[in-house]
Amino acid sequence: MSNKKYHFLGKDFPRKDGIARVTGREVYPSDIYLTGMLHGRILRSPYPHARIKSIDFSEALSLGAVCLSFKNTPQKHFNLRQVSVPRATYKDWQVLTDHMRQVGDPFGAVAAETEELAARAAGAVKVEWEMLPSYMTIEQALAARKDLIHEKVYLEDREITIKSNIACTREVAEGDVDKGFKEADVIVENEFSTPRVYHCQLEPRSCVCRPEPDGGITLWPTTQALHNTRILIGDIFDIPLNKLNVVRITGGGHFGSGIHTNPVVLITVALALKSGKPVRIVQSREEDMYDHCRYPSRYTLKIGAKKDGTLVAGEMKASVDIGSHHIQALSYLGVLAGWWHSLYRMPNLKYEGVAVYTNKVPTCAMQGYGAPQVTFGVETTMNMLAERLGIDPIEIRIKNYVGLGEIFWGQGPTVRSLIHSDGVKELLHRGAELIGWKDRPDPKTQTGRFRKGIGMARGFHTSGTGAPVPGEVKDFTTAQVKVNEDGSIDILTALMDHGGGTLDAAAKLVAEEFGVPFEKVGISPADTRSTGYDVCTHATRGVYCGGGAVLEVAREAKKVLLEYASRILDAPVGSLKTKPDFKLGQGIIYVEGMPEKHITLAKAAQTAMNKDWGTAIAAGSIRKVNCPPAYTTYFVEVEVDMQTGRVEIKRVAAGSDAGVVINPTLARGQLHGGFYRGAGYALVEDTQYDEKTGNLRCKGLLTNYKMLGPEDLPDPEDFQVFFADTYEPTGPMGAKGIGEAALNPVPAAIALAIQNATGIYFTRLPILPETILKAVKEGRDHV
Amino acid sequence: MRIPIVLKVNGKEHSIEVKPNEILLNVLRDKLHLIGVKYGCGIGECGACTVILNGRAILSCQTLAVSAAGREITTIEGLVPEGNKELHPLQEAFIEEGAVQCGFCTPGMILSAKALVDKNPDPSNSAIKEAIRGNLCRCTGYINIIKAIKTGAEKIRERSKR
Amino acid sequence: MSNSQVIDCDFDYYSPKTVEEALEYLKSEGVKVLAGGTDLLNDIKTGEIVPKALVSILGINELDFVEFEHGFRIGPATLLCKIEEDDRIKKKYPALCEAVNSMGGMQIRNMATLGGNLCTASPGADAAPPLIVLNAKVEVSRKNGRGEIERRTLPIEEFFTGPKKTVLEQGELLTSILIPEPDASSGSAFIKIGRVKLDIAKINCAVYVKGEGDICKNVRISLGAVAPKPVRAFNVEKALAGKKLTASLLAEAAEMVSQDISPRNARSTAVYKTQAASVLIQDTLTTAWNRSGAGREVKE
Repeated sequence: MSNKKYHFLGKDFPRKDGIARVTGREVYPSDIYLTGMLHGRILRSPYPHARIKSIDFSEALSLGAVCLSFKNTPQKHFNLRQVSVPRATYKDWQVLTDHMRQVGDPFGAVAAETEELAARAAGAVKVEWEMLPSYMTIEQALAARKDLIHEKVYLEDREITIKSNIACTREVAEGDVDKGFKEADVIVENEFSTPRVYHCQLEPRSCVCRPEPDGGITLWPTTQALHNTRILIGDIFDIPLNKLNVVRITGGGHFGSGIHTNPVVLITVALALKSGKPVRIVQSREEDMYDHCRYPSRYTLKIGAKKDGTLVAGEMKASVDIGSHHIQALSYLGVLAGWWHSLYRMPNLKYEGVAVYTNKVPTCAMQGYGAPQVTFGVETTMNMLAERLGIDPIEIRIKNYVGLGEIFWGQGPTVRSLIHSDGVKELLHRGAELIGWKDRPDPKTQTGRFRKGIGMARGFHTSGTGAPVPGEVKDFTTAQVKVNEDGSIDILTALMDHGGGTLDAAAKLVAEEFGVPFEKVGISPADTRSTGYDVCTHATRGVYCGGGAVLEVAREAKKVLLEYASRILDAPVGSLKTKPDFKLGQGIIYVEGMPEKHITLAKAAQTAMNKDWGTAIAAGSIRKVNCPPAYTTYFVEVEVDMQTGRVEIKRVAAGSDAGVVINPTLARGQLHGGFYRGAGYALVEDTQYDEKTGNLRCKGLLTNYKMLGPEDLPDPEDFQVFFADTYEPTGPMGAKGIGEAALNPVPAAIALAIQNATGIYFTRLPILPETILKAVKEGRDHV
Repeated sequence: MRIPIVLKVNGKEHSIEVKPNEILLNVLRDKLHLIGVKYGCGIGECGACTVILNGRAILSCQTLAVSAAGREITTIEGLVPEGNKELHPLQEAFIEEGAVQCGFCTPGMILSAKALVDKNPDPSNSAIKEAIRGNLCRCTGYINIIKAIKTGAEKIRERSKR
Repeated sequence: MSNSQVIDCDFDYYSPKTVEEALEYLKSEGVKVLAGGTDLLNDIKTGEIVPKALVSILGINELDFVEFEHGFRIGPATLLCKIEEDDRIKKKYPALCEAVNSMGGMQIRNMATLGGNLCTASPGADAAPPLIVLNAKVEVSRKNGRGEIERRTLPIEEFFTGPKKTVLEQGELLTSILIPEPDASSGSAFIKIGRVKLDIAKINCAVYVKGEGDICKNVRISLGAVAPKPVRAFNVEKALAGKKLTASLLAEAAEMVSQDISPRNARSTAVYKTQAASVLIQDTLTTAWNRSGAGREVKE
């Protein structure tokens, strides 16, 4: 961190939404009750691949339900995810169709006065089906020649004919890979795979839609992107945007599941338009589990290095089972290459990715968006190379990592920017010391039933998707900042906070800039009518891009205020400074060197109002032209029971380079949470299918979708979090991101800790006790 | 079959009529407008619907409303008596320790914590973990929640000394 | 796809105050016993059970008791949390307490009953193995044609007949669980392996052992989730009975568990369950042995 003294940054304050959340008064979409509101229930396919021959709604209608099918909805094709530019957006979704591509695919909906009646009406709908062959694996899907999952889709507005269920492909190449491998002294090649993990955000995806008298609608959806939701719905349903208001409302967790507009939102709108009444749909947990999951991965990774550990060439071939629909797999294929490219310098690199449709749940971003997937394989490979070359794993990383002054790919090959801050070495050295890296066991000499192991992995996430040259991804935030007549300040922006404290961070930046007490800065309720465009709170961009935009706008508003103050104090604007006066509970403006010449913000704002000068207000849309990497390292100690294969996590030392840390306790919480989800990803979480029926084996019930609980995690005293002392010069007051970086290296660190204990490298997640025990019994060193 | 019942919630009595198949969670939310009780999984795995029934934390998604008739129910809304502007020490601690992120699990988590500290005023890490293992939090990784429950318990001990 | 948000079928509801009254309701087809509801309501939500009526037994005092006067008896409507909190049970029957503590979160244990766990008869029911090794008996009641209550008592092992199946017929109710006094210098223990700490068992195990010096005088071992119903590991027991207990004997004997179980790939693999069963028996027996007398340990 810089030497600059901050009043608010780096200090803890009670979060502004805290009281609502601890008293049960926070309102989530599923908590909205409107007068005359109907409850909707979605009709879903029980088969993985089928066509609907006919639907009989007569019994549901006789129960008094409003009924909707694909016959009543617009047939336009679109992509639910709107963060990419149109030329990079495949469109294969429709609101409802008669072609069912997974168990749980929606074909209709009903609405009734109570949830129970809606459920009964849904149960009374009769459907005649035509079965189609289903493709539950990449191999089955690629072998298909007819009865494809999608026949025709659109890229922007160009029709694309799908062959062999291939949704899209992507290639990236730099240098000369063949030449590179010839120069290598050691080459390591493996196949890695990572599972389809379910987000399990605690609130199932939900929406409330109210038709308005002017023909417009108001929406309260679970979303990470207000404006993209509005634009998409306006386009599909042909509603003018000035009559379509999407309201910001707290969501009960997202983790990436709300970057795209959830199908439930579209169906709620369709039901509300059909019934003319407000409609709420809260998905059941079962429905939610058939709605989305994390992109899986399966890839071969070949990396060559010289004797001294310098990497010379790499080749990766990835195939991705994307499920029934495209939620921007093209972008995902791009980031798989991008994260890999930005982990370690590789002068010669070749990447091929293919995304394949299957009759499974559609996949989307989840914390890390490809980074944990790739980091798992790359970090494992780095350890294998280090072992072969007799180099310490930390040394080989320091030698090769992409750091200060180098080019970073923040969102695939089209988003590139220069790195200005880099705490990697500090993170590695401090983490090593905290965990006792030097004294870690030697897997070759360990004996006994319970074996300890220490693993380390590093990684990063981008802070947003800004870059000097716009790429395939949109990235800007609009904000308005104004000074109120009592000296308080309102921030208005469509930026979302998923619970990590993004909006509190924005408020702190503004408090710091104006020199007003934190509690004097308010976050205004926001909706799409009152705010300008914000792309989405995703890609760890909340603080860096969103907070950065708010700060820049605040500086503009401050200029206006200082201009008013300069008239009042009769001093040039350039001589004016601001600072908080905690006794007054106010910010004050003073003439530098003449502290007696000062005025409170309130007085300045009131005077400006009474003299008809105006309000100190500014608004603007700000795009960041960088995407700095937020680095993280994890050092993890585990204990493996060699007789049952069970793994216990003993200690964690988590290091983060987030630039200047704004909310310290909440930032540590990001690392705790990232570790928890990453550890579950490494050890237990997976959605498996019954290939015959196309059903999830867990049937959408949490009883059989297991996540780690508090007893599976270390005690608070054994979980250390530390931050690198860095300052990001392009960031708001030195800050960059943290969110997704908090998870990305975790699965790799755990896998390598297990390797350190057992001597076995694991290349497939999750690493179940069954897999460990089998490998131990077979005497393997690699599975 | 419709059954008239009296639900005693947060110190107030509500005379309502329910069908036997109505679930307590839905009755609390839909009829009594207590939205702090959340639906998370519907099958007793996540704890978002936790309420306190006769002093014990239970799951309102696995309780028929008719079965809860006449028993004392406390929801998060009733943790502090109405009109009392102060927060409960556990609520304060949850905010201070960063135990709140998206907040969806928070009401249920705090009620489980309350049921614990009512019986065990100075709980260990393992006692806390055991008490909240039925409450799923997908955001925090539990570390700050454990800290908050310790801090909250300490605040309660301090206050009782005064 | 099921709907865990609402129950969309209608049924009647009764909350009798006496066993006699409850048995009367239970005579009719489709009438189900509602205890804690933590399994039954899920089954109703997922459509596995469509009841005509539910009879809540939580208000029946005759079914909610823990008494030590005439041997140890527990009422089936006793909440799991009450068993856990009872120091007498903790001291005498640690296996039962450990099993109960492993069942679900605090809220589940505050709602669910011992009888409910047994009557649901999941192959992995955690309360079954400890009760089996503790030689428990269950009392089943019904009303005969003359309206009199008839009671029969049977060993708990005979109570389970298959996955989610028991000897209970329509009209019958589990009314008591009887556990004999454990022998002096005996010990019991329960250990479970789940996918995570809080889980239904991948496999669970309870052991009761009585020692005489370092001789394993009497041993009973039961495992859950490794067969259609909870089983005894007779082959392992036979290999240990009357022998001097050493780690190597125990390891050798525990291997024989493969002849006692017939696991499926539920929540794990059959291969893993077989391997883990052997380890689990050794761990559980070691704990039980340590409890059977001061200074007892399994020697190499």
